[in-house]
Order: sequence, then structure tokens, then C-alpha cells
Amino acid sequence: MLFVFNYCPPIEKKGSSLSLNLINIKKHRYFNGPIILFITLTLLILFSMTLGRQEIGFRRLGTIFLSVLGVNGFEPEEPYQSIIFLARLPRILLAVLIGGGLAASGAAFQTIFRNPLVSPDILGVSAGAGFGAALGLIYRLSWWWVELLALGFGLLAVLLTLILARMAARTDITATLLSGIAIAALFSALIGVLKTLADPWNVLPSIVFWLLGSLGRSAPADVLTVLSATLLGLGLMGLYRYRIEALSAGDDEAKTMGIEANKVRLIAVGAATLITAVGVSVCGIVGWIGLIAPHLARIGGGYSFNLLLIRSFAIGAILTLAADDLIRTVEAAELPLGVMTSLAGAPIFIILLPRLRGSWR
Amino acid sequence: MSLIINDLCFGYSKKPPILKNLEIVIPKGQVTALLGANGAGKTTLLRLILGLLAPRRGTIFFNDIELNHLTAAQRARFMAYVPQFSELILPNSVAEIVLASRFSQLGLGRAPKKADWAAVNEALELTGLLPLANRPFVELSGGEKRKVLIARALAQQSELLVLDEPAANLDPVSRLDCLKTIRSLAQGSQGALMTTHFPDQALLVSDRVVLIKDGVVFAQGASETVLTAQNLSAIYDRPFEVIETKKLSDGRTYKVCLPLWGEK
Repeated sequence: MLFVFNYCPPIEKKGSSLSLNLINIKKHRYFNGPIILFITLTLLILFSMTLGRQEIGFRRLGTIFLSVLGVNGFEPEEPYQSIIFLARLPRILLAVLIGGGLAASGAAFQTIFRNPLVSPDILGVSAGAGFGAALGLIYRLSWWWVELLALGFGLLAVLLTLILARMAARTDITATLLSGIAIAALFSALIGVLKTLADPWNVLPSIVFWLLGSLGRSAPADVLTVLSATLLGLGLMGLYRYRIEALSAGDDEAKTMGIEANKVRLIAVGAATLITAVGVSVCGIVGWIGLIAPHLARIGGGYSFNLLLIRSFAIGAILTLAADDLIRTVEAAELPLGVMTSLAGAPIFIILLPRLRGSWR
Repeated sequence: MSLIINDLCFGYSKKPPILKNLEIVIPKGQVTALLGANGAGKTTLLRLILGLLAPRRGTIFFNDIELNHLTAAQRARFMAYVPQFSELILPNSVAEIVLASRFSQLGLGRAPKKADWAAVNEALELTGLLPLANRPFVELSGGEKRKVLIARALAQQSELLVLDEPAANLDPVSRLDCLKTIRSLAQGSQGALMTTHFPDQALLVSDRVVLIKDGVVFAQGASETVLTAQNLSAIYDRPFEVIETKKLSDGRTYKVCLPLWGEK
């Protein structure tokens, strides 16, 4: 088993020529070390490329990649190359990016709101996006418009939440979360109104399936949108990772340690919301991942946000990709992704629940 | 070079002022104790000094720089805060928690450097916490937790430690250890400002005392001259007596301040 540990350089004691390693930071020896997780994720991605109606084995997969890399003697094989690069890989990448992004956002939200029950849609982004998409579907707009409306209303919902919270009590965490719950309830009610008004034969099913989430309808172009949003969001969180971690001590302590608590929280909310809103607008509402992945990432210790972010991303990506693989394997009916992540995620979470003891006070 | 408070007034909006026209000097490299009855405004004053509240009027200078003009990160270089309890909810290790005080000085996206770990190491050594470096904070005893919070403030390497009742809720020996740590730190370059409910503790460790009553400074100066039975009786509205012990086995005399049970 690979051991992954927190980095701690040897410490030289002041005024002594001896190099003493006085703080031996405990090594991390669990399944959720970043290296193990990323090896698992890579293997899963390769395996996922072989799944599908058209049989493509690992040998053929190797040939396709070697020919793309321009290695002599390997010619492109059609239609396999198109199937991999135009159908399977975009869907796999979307699963990885959206699952990983939701999980990283969940980790950030749980840290800045100091609450283990928080998931990335707590500020209303999913409900807002659902309303936007339902609106687009009811007016039978093009797919591109549905995505844009979902994104717009997702962002609008979070903005409303922040404004509401600011009016209620400037920076209070509870006020922010309660505002989020209120805005989410409002948009959920509006979704209900649209569902009631929708044509029950043609439009209502599409709204229902949109809300349950799916990667089946995504286009290769979506990958680029999701990739840029996820990279931007993760980049911001990465830059501020230590400042975000400091917020877990509470605002007063963070401020006296020199952290601009309100600014950092706003940046983290912005980054997480961007990732979530773009993800939801492309594949609908995918539950659970943003809530459970950070908890699984915390098993066994190593609570610094730095590691949590990386581990959560990998775990979210693995869970979502595995769920989507299951969906693709069950031929009879393509289950919605949101249903599958909950169906598979809840038992995993229940099994691991005893090991979460001690993760939160 | 010290903390100078000029004509400071504070009150929550539309409510009568809590602190009125405070003029306080807190010299560098000394321990200053802040005493007053519950509700006198001690904690409010600490929060103003720490920049967690904005004054209604007046200024606070540190080394001739007005604190209002500083960012949180700049302010953190001048003073570090030791709260009574930490609101930490994750079971981070002691070393991780102490390291957090260095985060605001890191460049964006940068990881802690050797110097940061060295500061953590030094702080843990000074507080005797090195053996506990890997233990989760939430599993520690109350006294150990308080020491971790002091170590975190030390690792911030600021000039003034601001402590909110550092000895409260500790057993007698932990309390003494905690006070001794504060005393030994102030003999270096760092000063300390602490609130306390116990005049005896102030007499034991502080060089100076500021007495606050109903939001105004009642008296300030050297501990021995200010902490008299008369002054204590006045700020707590109850007769007090100050008793000096004979030389005890450690060769020191102690002063005990007692509020009296009643007139009968």
C-alpha cells in the first residue's frame, strides 16, 4: 500500500547546527490518500472507455491512443476512434469534472460555513438552475438556451441569497444558510408551478428528467464550458486554500490571524457557485456527491483544506463516473444520474458512517 | 512604542454607549491586566483593540500607526489573539492549528515554508506542547487547549498578545502554568494584554493594571499601587480586603484579594 503523508520539512532549531525534525507530522495511511485516489481515477477512466454497446477492448484502446499520438505503425481505426473521442471520452470527462467539481465545492462550503451538513446547493444554485431549465423547456427553446437559462437562474438564486443574508445580518453564517434555504424553497415552488402548467405529454417528462440529472444528453462542446468553469473555480480555491482553511476557526479568530474573512468567504462562494452552476446547467441536478465526497475524504485524518480539496475532487469524480458507468451498463433503461448517485452513494455512505466518527466535534 | 488609546467611544447602533472616552496606555514588553465587573466593557474593549468592532469615535495607535488604517494581515503582525475557547469544529492536529496563524502571511497560492514550520516548532516548544503536536485538538484537556491557543498566537510572531481571560476554567495548577507562560513571554520582546476576573492573578503576573467601571477607566497604573482594597471595593461595589501572606516555602509572598461575605 502506498503511504501518502503531509509534507513537513526538517526543522532546524535556532542557534544550533543540528538539524532536528522535531514535529513529525503523522503519516496518512488510508485508502483516500491523493496518489491512490488518482491512480484509481485513471484506471476507472480507462475502464469506462471500454464500456458501451460497441465492444472496444484495452488492446484496441491502446492502438487508438498510439495512433493519435502519431506513433509509427499505428493507423487510426474507424469507427472506434470516433466512438472514443466523440462519444465516450466527452461523457467520461464531464462525469469527472462535474463530480469532482461538486465534491470540491462541497468541501469548500463545509469549511467556510463550518457545517458538515452543507452541500454545494445550499445557497439555492440547484433550485435556481432547475427553474431556469424548466422555463426553457416549457417554451421549447433550443438546448443551448436551456443551459444558459439554467446557468443564469442558478447564479441569480445565489446572488439573491447573498443579498438577502446581507440585509438580514451582514456576515452571519446562519443568516446566509437560512437565506439560501428560503431562496431554494422559493425556486422549488416556482418549479412546481411550471410543472403544473407544462404540457403533461411532451414537456413535463423532459422537465422531470432534466431535474433528475443525466450526462446522456451532453454535447462534446459542453466539455469545454465545464472544463473552463471548473478550472477557474478550482484555481481560485487553490490560490486561497490556506485562507479558506483558516475560516474553519470562525470569523473572529480568522480575522485576528490576519485573514480578511468576508472577502475570502465571498471568493470561495463565488468559485464553488461557478463550478456548481455550470455543472448543473449541463447535466441537471446531481445530488449527494457534494455532500458525501468531502466526508469520505476526511476519513482517517488530514483535515487541512489543502488535502481535503484534492481528495474530495478525486472521490467525487470516481463516484460520479462509476455511477454513470453503471447507467451505461444497464441497457434496459437509462436511469437518471441524480438517481444513480443517490442509489449507489447512500449505501456507501451508510457503510462508512461509523468511520466518520470523530471527523466533526 | 506602545498601544495608545485616545478618546475611545463605542456603542451598538441606537443604543447608549458601552465605552466612554477611554484613554489608555499599554507599554511594550509588559503584562497589562484589564479588570472590571461583568458587563463593565472589558471584552468590548478587547474586540475594539483587535479590530473586530469599529469605534464610534476615537483612535487606537500601535507604534504610532493608527490601527483603523491597517488591513487584517498587517494588524495580525502587531497583535495576536488568544480567545477563551476556540470555535474549531474539525479535529485538526495541534501542529495544524498552530500553523494556521501563519496563513495570512503566505503569498496567494503558496504553501507554508520552512520559516513557518520553525515558528510553529518554537511556539510549541515554548508552551511545552511538542509531545502533543500530532494529537487532535478536540481530544485535549481544557488546560492543554488553552496552551495550544497561546502557542498559535505565539507562532504569529506579533508584538502584543491579547488574551481573553487566559486563566478562566482551569484547575489551580494549569492556571498557574498558564500565567507563568504569559509572564515568561512578556519578559522577551512581546507584551501581553489580558482580561481577568481575579485581582490576585493580576498581582501575580501583571506589571500594569487598567480598572474599568461602567465603560470608563476608573484607574490605571502599576499593579501594586492600583490594586488596593479601596479601588477594588469601588469597581465591584462590594467591600474588598487585600491580604498579604507571610513568606511561603518558595520564598515569595502572595497577595490575596477577597470580597467580603457581608456586613454581619
